[in-house]
Amino acid sequence: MMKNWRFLAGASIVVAVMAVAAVAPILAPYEPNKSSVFMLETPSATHWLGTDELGRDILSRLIYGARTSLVIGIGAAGVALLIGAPIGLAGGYFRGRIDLMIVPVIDLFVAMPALILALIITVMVGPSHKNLILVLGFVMWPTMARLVRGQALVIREATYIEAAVAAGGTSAWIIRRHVWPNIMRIVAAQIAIAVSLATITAASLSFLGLGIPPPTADWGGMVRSGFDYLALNPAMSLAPGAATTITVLGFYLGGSAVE
Amino acid sequence: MATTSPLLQVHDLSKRFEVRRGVFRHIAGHVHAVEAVSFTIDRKEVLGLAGESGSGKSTVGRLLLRLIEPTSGQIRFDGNDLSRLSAAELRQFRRRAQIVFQDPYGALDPRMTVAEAVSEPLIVQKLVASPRRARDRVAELLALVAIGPEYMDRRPAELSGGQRQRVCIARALSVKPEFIVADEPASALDASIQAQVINLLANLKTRLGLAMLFISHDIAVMAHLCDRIAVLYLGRIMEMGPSFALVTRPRHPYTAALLSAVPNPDPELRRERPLLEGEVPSPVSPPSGCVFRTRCRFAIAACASTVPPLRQIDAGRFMACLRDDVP
Amino acid sequence: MQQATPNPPLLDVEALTVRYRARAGLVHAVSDVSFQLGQGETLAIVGESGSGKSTTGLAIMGLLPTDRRTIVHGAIRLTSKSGSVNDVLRLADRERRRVRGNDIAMIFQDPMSSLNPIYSIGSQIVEAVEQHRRVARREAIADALRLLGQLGVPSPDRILASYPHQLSGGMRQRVMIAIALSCRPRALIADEPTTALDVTIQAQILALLKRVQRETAMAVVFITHNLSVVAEVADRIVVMYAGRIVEAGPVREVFKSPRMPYTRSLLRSLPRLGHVPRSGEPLEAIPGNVPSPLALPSGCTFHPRCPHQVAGVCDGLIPGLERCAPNRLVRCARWREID
Repeated sequence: MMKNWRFLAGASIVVAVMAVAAVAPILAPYEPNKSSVFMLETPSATHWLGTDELGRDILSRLIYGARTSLVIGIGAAGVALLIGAPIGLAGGYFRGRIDLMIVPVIDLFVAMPALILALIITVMVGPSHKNLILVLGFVMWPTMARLVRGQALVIREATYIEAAVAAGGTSAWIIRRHVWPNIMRIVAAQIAIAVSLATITAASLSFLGLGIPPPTADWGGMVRSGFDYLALNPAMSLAPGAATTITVLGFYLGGSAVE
Repeated sequence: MATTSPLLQVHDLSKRFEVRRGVFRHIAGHVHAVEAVSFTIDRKEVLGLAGESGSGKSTVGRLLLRLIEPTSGQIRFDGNDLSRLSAAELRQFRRRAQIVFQDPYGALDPRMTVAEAVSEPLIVQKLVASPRRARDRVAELLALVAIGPEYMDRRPAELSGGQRQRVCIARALSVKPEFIVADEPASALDASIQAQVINLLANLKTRLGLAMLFISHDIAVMAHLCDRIAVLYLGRIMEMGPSFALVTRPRHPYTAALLSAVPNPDPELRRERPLLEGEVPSPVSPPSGCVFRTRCRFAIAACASTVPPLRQIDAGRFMACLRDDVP
Repeated sequence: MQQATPNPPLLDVEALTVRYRARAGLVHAVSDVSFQLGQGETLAIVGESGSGKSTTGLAIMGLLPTDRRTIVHGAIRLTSKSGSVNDVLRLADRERRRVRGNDIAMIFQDPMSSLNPIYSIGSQIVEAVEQHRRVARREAIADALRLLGQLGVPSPDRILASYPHQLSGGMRQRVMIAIALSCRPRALIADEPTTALDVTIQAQILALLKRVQRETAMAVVFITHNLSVVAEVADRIVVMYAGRIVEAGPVREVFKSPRMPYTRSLLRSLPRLGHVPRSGEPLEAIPGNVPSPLALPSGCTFHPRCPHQVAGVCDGLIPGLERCAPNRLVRCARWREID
């Protein structure tokens, strides 16, 4: 796995973004939400990427934006896992009536485009950090469940599962000791992909004005507000846009390489 | 013969699998895997279950351990009806009866070490205080099957087929069972390793006083290990009796055909033998009456209308054939 | 080293060596294998996994991979129907395809992997015929029907219309044999053809092959690990271990007095129905495992498992193949001393 260039590239990006987010207070030259009179400045020695319409340093907001993106992305993926994995395991391992109820629900959600669904729900519940994580997680759990269910279906047919039953193992033991460890790798890959999906969706929602409310530094929102001033200082939109793209790419590359 | 009651009593055991087709999954038919099978196994006795594909022998093995549920019939283990066991009693039963599977490659979880796999029954049955305590017992068990302690922390991928099968045997023995179902334990292994595994089972049987159900398609090997043999065809017992007698003087036409089809490792004894013609009928629509009649040289009209009962023809010798004068 | 065959050899394999360059190292699949096959003869190649027997069969058919990782030395001379002698290993692809199926054919253990699941049986047999003989389609079908009938297939017209997954294992094997025989090859390589079949079906297929041989004087190379089957069908036997021939000779003689300890142990580990002992008597088992082709023992590759091995003699040089009787070869440094 170490020799796989995709994994190395993806992992490097993810680690870099996380590092930036972790040391944001040390790294950022200014307070991200501190407005000033120096509005809409172009990149200079004091403000490497310039300032936005409220005089805030774009570079600092970019760095702090990493925190927001990661929290939303990883949080949403975590919610999707927490809901999706148990449901998928239950359906795939026990089959029967449980499975018959789960499968149509999963198929329904998978058929709907994530962004539209997230949009509709966010409009109803209103945007905030917490809501965004929950909504995105809710939109993504069926895909996670489908993956887990598919893997569980295959593994439960293995002879070593039968051997565990013959030894007197309960279903809980078998799922914990045999089924879950054997699908963890695939699930880990799917989590990474879920993070990338959540990040881009959150950014899209922000761009549409339904994302993190101001004044929090958030890449999607920055792209949106920078839109009006593209001619003056393209870095205002391009920098956060590039940052989003690179982060999403990093998670996706890393995840797909593990599969 | 033992005067105490048999360890295992199987009476009229049947298993039918549903065949579902179509979008609405309606039942298109049934696979008659096992039909009205009855036999007993005494303590410390080894019964061989011989048969070819479609005979239902593997299904019988799984039924005996309640890995699948019978459609009808009764299985008594040490006098207890298996279908009436509570969850706790079922777990107790699983301490006394174990299984070794045919496929040593699939029977071990690739992510577990040898020590973890062998100790799993002990932990699940709460026979050891902690996984660490189990290690001593695991070392003992591995020694029983001639695997060195250096293999304890290895993964199955690092072991050969024969070694994996021996690990599976060690795992089955961990809970000190009285009865083991060995489902084609040597079939997936190289010829020179097969004898190793068979010898090991024979050795363990004598040392530990195990009762066994030995399932195989290789009737020559069976005669080495088993006290008695039952021959299955399309889910029914055709003949049953002491190994030596059955193999040297078969009474049922199918047993005779099966034995004569076995190639003899002596080129001097090469001869033209009457062959069994045709193929095994589909278990979804087995022939009426005697299921073997479609390929039997001695079939008469009555064979199509009557299912021959398994009747006693000699001491410990049973046969399901309407005729007395064959083969 | 040649073994006497009554007819000019149909197949002459000389010093065949096959090596693969794997990531983990160099795999010696086959080392210095030589034998001949005469018309109408049945030669059995016996060995376990890793012995190189299947690779030898594939080499004869010209089916080895042709990439740079496969290194092949030696010669495989095949006498074709026209009388010309060609070295299969040095033929161009197009020539090889002509030889394959026409002069020599092969059947495998698992018919499912050689039969295309999406085409009917009939179209596959006809395709095989059309590849090698210029006949009209109608004649090809008639030929196929006749062939299936000869092979004991009931209602051959129904079989022609069926698909591989609809047939039983024994029936599929018969279809494979029909395809292999459709061009009346002079030699047939059978790689474990009955291993996956029930013993009663195996008996049918073996009898079938014997009958075809009697009627057409076809020679057969029978590759198997099952010594009992060898006793039933073969005239001569070649025993392989870890890529080398370790014993060769007429079947009756080798079975009666095997000279190589591996052959002996193999024969002794077989349960015999004839004189069934009281249950409980152990079978003679060979200790240890077949060595990995990447880590072969020094000297005689069997010596770590051999009851007669002597340090200094067996673990140094690889013993050569010696003639221990007019028709017999053995590769053992101590064959004279072992009774």
